[in-house]
Amino acid sequence: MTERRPSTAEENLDQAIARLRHGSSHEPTVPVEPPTDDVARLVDLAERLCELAVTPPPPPGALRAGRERLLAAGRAASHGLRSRRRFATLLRPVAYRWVAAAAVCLALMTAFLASSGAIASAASLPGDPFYPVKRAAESVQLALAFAPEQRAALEKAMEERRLAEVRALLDLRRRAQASFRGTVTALSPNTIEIAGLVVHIGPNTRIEGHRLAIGDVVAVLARSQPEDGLIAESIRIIPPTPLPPLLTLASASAPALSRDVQTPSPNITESATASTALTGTVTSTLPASSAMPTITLTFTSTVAAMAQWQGTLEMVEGDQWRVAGHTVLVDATTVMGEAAAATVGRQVRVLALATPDSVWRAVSITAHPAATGGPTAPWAIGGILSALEADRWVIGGWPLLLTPDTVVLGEPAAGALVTISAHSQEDGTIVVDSATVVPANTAVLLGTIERLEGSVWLVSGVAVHLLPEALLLGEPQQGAHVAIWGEGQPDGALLAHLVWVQAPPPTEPTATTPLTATPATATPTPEVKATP
Amino acid sequence: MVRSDQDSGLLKRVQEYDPSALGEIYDCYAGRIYSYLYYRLGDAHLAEDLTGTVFVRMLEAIQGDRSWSVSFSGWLYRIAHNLVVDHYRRGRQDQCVVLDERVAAREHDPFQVVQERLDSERLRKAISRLTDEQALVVTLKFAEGLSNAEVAEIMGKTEGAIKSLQFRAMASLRRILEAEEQG
Repeated sequence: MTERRPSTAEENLDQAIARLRHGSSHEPTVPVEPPTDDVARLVDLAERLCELAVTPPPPPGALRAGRERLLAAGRAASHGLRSRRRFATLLRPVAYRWVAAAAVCLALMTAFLASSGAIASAASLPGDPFYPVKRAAESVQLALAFAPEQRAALEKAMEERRLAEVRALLDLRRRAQASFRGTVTALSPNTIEIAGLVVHIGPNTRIEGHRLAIGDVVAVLARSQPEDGLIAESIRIIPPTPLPPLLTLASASAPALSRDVQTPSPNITESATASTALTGTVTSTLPASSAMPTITLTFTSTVAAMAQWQGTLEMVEGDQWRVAGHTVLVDATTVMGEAAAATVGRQVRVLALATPDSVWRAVSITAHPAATGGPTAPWAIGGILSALEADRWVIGGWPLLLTPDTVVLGEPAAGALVTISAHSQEDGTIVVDSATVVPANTAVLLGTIERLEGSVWLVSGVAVHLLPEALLLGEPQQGAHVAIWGEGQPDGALLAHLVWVQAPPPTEPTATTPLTATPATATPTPEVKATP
Repeated sequence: MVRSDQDSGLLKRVQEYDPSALGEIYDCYAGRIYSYLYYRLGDAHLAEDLTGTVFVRMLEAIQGDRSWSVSFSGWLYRIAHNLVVDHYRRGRQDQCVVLDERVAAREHDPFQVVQERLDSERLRKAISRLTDEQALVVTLKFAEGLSNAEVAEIMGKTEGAIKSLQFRAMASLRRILEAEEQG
């Protein structure tokens, strides 16, 4: 068969493309006829294709993940290959013995299959014929581990083995059902991440336990799919080791806890001191609420939002101070920290509350040398979501920008209480890094911090566990009064979503700082109230 | 089957899952495959992800005793091409315009930048509607900047055949774009 020679049009186009790719100074090496209109149009198209060829180089390290993925797949495949070979090698002499002596061979075969099966099963994966042998052998191992430390170590090793098996299944793009357990390290509405494995939550996924949260230990039954990765069939939240019962939370319907209560209930007399101390600033900035201390921190009635941020004091005009692009009202009740005088340019930290009409009042302004301001300054905001669009939320009258990198936990809706970690940009725009929608049925605990041990606090006798995404406003310290929004647990503990800390009462009341002048005469009785 | 001795030796080591052979293959071809995928998809993250997938598919094929018949790089490009076709077929491409930071950072009129990106997306989708061979020749010529001789070697064809294929590919591409503009 002879090769067809390219037509003149084909040659013309090829020459034109060569000139385009090498720059217009390159003349055709072979004299060609002037291009026809058709070819000229194709040359225009070739020009566009050349422009498309501006490929940015992959970012440094970007292709490393693919390399590791290939090597992991190679390792997993190599495992399977070795076990198949080992099994074949072991089986070969059995065949010889079978020929030599059938009776001996039968006995050998039995023992042999058992041992070779165990060897072959060691590298087997879910779905392999030998996988049940592997799991059965592990069960026996576990049953024989009597010492608690030995048992714990074995269980940990097995958990890691299960995760490694799932990774191998994904690398090999095999379909199989696998079970494993681990701690949730990341969460989105459709996925959870456990030890680096992304597990997709589908419409048929069964979730057993409370609402999924980062830090939960979960047992997952999932199916690996070559195209879609890991799809969860069920996710069971393994409850943490029960804590000793401390105090049963008060009923959510206690009359003293209603935000609509207009007169103080006799039930709260004992806790009034604590509440007054806690809400001293608020009561003084909101005169009408001074007689009803227990409602002052209830969202939607008198407080729409609370926030803490740091940055440069940019402006002082009467009672209006601007810090990092946001203005707050400062009055006699605002606690001024040491050296936080009204010096423009000073780095300060602001703790403020917003009224429902979006007026932000400073609770405290303290000098904060570490504050850097600018794009990385962290913001902590808790409050009622008054409006939301796809990329813009409003809380306390502040527009907040959501980006594709923003992590949102829960289902945001207007009226929901949300906690937000954010940063500000040079132009003052607040960009949300992460947002958590606080469940509607949270309780509020008002009390005094008695003990601080990492993420577990004792507040007026109640064990408070700070969730990993919990938002903390103020400086927690022993003796400080707090308001904590959280989920009550059957054992009396509280899983905290939002914590508002007020400085502990001073030993000497001062006239200039009404907040800290509020007396706290006794350890207050903890008080729990339901949010609206 | 035509295989160079060097490639055959590499294949044998890869069949043994020799990590150094796997690493060697990856280091040698990943950049080119990424470039090919980026040209076809216009999305750096997706191109990175699919680059890894190309090599895992390569391993699977070798395990299943399916491997290249003409040229190793041509085979990898075909795996990449199939992934691109799958991607477009499943309609997984983002509905929004991905703005490369470098493009966006240029001192251009933002509307012009977006318009250019939309044009590029249209062109990429049109390439995905070409036949496999047409799409491959266009990408190898324009994205990789390969000569006719190099493309011919990868695709197992003569240089004359590549020129003809290139012409047909460009003509088809033009028809697809015109039909879209009219439709």
